[in-house]
Amino acid sequence: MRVLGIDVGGTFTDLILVDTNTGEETIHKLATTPSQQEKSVIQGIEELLNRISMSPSEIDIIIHGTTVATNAMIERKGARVCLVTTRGIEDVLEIGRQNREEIYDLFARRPGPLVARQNRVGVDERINWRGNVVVPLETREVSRVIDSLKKMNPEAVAISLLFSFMNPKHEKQLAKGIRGSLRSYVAVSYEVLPEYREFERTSTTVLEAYLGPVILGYLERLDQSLTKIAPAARLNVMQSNGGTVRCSNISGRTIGLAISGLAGGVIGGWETARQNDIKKALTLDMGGTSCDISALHGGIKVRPDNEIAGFPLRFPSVDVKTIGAGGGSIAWIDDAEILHVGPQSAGAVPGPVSYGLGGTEPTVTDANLVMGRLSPGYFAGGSIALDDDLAKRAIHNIGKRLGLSKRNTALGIIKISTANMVQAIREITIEKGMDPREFTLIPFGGAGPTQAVDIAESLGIGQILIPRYPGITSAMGLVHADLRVDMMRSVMLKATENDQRLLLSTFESLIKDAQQALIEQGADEKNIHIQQEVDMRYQGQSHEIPIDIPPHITGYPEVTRNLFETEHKNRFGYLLKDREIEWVTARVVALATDSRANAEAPAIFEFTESDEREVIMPDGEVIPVQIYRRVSIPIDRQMKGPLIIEQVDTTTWVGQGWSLKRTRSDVLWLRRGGH
Amino acid sequence: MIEDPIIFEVIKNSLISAAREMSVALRKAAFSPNIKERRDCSCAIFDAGGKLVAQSKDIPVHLGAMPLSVRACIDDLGGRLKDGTMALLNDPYRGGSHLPDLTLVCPVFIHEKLVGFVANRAHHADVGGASPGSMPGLSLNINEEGIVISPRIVIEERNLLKDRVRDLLEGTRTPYERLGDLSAQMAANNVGRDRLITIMKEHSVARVLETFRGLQQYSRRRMLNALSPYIGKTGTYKDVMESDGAGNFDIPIKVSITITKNGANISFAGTSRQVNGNINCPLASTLSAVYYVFIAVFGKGIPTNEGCWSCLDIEVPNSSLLNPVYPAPVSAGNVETSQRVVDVVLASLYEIVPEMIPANSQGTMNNLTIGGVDPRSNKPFTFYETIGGGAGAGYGIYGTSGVHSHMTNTLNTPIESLESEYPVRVISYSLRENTGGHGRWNGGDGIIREIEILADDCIVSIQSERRKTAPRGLAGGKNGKIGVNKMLYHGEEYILQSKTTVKTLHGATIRIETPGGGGWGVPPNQAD
Repeated sequence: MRVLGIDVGGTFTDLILVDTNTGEETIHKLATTPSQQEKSVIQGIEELLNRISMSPSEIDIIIHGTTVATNAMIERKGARVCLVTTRGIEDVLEIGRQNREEIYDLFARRPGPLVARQNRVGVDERINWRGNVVVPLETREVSRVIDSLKKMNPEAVAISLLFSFMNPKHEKQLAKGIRGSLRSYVAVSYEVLPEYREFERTSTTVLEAYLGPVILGYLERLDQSLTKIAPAARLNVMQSNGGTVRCSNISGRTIGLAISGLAGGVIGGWETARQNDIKKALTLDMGGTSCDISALHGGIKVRPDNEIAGFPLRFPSVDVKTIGAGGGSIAWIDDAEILHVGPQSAGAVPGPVSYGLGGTEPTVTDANLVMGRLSPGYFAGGSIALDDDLAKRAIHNIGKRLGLSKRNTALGIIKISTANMVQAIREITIEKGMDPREFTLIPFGGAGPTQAVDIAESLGIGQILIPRYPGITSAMGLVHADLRVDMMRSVMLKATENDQRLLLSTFESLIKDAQQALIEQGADEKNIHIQQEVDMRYQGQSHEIPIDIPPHITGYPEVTRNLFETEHKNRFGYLLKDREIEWVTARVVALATDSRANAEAPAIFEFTESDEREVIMPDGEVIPVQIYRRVSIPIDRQMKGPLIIEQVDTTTWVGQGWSLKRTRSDVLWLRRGGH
Repeated sequence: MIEDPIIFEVIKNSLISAAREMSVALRKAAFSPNIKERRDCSCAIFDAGGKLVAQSKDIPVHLGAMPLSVRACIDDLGGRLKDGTMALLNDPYRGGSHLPDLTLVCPVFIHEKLVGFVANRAHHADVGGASPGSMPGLSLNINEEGIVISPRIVIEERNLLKDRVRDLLEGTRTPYERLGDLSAQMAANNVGRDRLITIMKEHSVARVLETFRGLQQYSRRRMLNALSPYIGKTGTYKDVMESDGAGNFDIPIKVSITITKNGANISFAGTSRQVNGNINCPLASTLSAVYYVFIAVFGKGIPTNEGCWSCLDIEVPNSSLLNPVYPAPVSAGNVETSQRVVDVVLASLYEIVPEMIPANSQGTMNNLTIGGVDPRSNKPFTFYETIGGGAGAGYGIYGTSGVHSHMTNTLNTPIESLESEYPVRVISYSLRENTGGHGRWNGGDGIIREIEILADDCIVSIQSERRKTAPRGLAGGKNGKIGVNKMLYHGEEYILQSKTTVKTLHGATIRIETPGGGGWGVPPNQAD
């Protein structure tokens, strides 16, 4: 089978093709076309296949990580949405839960709602807590709602009525009417998040409406172009939780792609850690535009909910923090004459000043070039020529305004950019009570390895591991991830013999659906592995404890009740003997594991002449430093910094006081002091 | 002094996350909507002397008041606080606030040595007394407000002993729910104790105890630094509570503040004597309000612990509205009077740091309790919630609409939870447009909450303020609109007083319109 991973970042689009029969890997990288991501994706596939003279029809599965949703949220460029909700609660979206984020903030603010008040339509209808209709939804009320929507002419409509998770009748009625008369995208709360708590459900449904048209538009364009060039390939998209979804099944579930583009990096980083027996890893994916950081302790952490651009999102997501720090981050001076770096990025166009494409504001890449860490002739393997003089001039200009030498300005830019990343790492480690010094830093992305030593020095981290292909680790994560489908359904049953039958039939249908979804994604039925979970609680609690159901059991009530009691005792220190126990939500995870994760091919040693370049050191001194190509580093031999290691997809800076070792499986270990 | 700044930070943040984990456990294990949905509960970690070391981001009025609870337990129970025990209290004159707030204190031992305490406070929906919800509109004596619990051990060898809380279980209308919530409080302390022991084992007991001291010294030093530019400056202000629900009106609260080289002197001389109605504010809640203001204004970025207020010298006259003695009723003092304490302290600081002070926020919590028998189950129910309103504007900042301000930060009860658990229907939950005071920057708008009661013979209590005197604008900004309490029944509208208890019939609707926040600066159309 041939699997193609495509990771689209703000600056570069990375591709990796794996032949699961031979283990052969082909990688390719090109500039992203930010306004039309599908263009660079198609162009990348064509370029990659040309290189190895393969016919596109030979690709079986494509797994895609995209930042379209993330960008739409950050730039607030989603669809124009109208909200249809039960009359009387139109403002719930704006009030939220009436609390403030910081208790001592006298001036607490919330982000403005995604739907302005005049675009919220109240509906006369009411369903009660049992799911019974109290105020029926009249046909003429549906018509009135449609008429007011027509006047507003929204791109998308979110429908969220009280108690629709108990009885979706009215939501269905409205959705049918609206879909029949308007061309807008329609998101309905009982489909998006069939859970109680009206604010969280409404807010998530509004996000679905906001993102839906943008994401579907993109994926449809991509799928159409792909059908032309690779008709046999199935296009699957990576979801925020590390699961995959068939492109044609995304309508109504686009919020699942909120951080699609980040999940691959976390998976790829953890894969590297796992293969090298590292338990505590800090993955740092620094590309052209942003830096995504994740602290992993024993595995990838999936949070039940997330927040994106200040909006709560009830969809499970890998735990990852993003900041605007990349190679393309722009250095600028504010009105108080203070130097800043980012979060704005020069992107791929015009790119850093040294690209010579018209950029005038110096970036982190320009500073690294001026410092001598990057080679003018071997950036991205020589495919992008860097103009040293342009970079020097731009850095000189900005330094002049600050009264700083060119050398100190370049150093300053790197220090500030490093400090931004260090602060983000502190937030996910120290502020959560973890000591970063116990972690191994795994830097990747095109820019990560160039600054990893600076970051490690600043935090006291002693060990850095650089993957084999740092520049495309995210894309690697996409092809190495299992195809994975998560299915859930609220059941609200008593954990008793009586209700067992209903729980079992729910599981049966969830398993069937999940298997079907995986087969549609291109999985082989015999590789599918099923895990069952049920969320349980004492009757009267509002929060559940997830219980893993062991395979092949009989007597669900007794087994799950025992597991629940053990876990409740474990978490809270006690049991309640006289209370009923409930099954609340049934969950199924279906994984298709095949042998895509082949053992890495052994590292190849190829002698090439080393080179030498003047490099500005952190203390401002300029000294000559040896430059090596990665393939020419002998296996298992310790080398002392300062050193520069160049390869097609990145440049690794080994600072003074650090040593380097390249292993048989072709990772680079950097250690403070000796090995 | 701080040997390894990274370890210092790591331990500090481990303690904060331990407190947060306690809060998560408490609401996850809880049974009443007021705790599991509204999060009307707080958790914190203390040193062996009962000084606050770290806290969760919960409810300000709880957090600043809990140290006195822990110290009351130490004073009253001393050596009886053994490993595996926990003590309960709510006595407003012995470290408590108002009776529904039950505080559970747990000593933490390592190798038989007391190393600290973990504690949590949760607002229970009913602890007995004259009206369901134990927040009567019109009580005249503490004993009408519920069961008073002085510090007593209720958990031994990690088991909750029901006979030690028999008075509570017999006094409350909802004993089954109380037991569930008390167990959840035990869960929070179990989690806190286990986390604290883990942290001490990881970093060594000595190092963590050293960090306890270091943290308090660090916060104290930073507070003193923040106050130092204003040494010698003074401010004073007087405002009123509009009613005590017992026939007294316009009850004064006065404060005078001087910033000194040792911190600040805050005197409440000139404040009313304690009153007949239930707006008397227990000392712990008064102190808590003062701490809140100083942390909010001067403590940005400073870790919250005892060190933040060890430089505040606060004088509160005995037997006054803000330091009442037995048997003064107090149920609205903790929730309503504490908000006014914040208003006067902020207003007097306006004379010292004008650009840092916002206009008045809604200045009330709009406490609503409904109790009766649920016709769906024939069991008694008691429902309690508080409602957000407009926040005051500040220099350059519009006030937020429909938000809780100052001493509380409880969430709303989701309508879908409310209607599932109680015989009510929410008719409206919306922003009350144009109720924020106009200004260069407008105050936030209040909320309209309209609830229809679907049971006969329910008792509704309301404790509110700012129904007569409006939240003030600042620096030329206009006042926010006052709030209104109404009952609608058979097409008629009845205005209810700010403190009230009424009996209702099936179909009666309670409509609470909460105040807007004050505006800041002269409105643009009025500037010349």
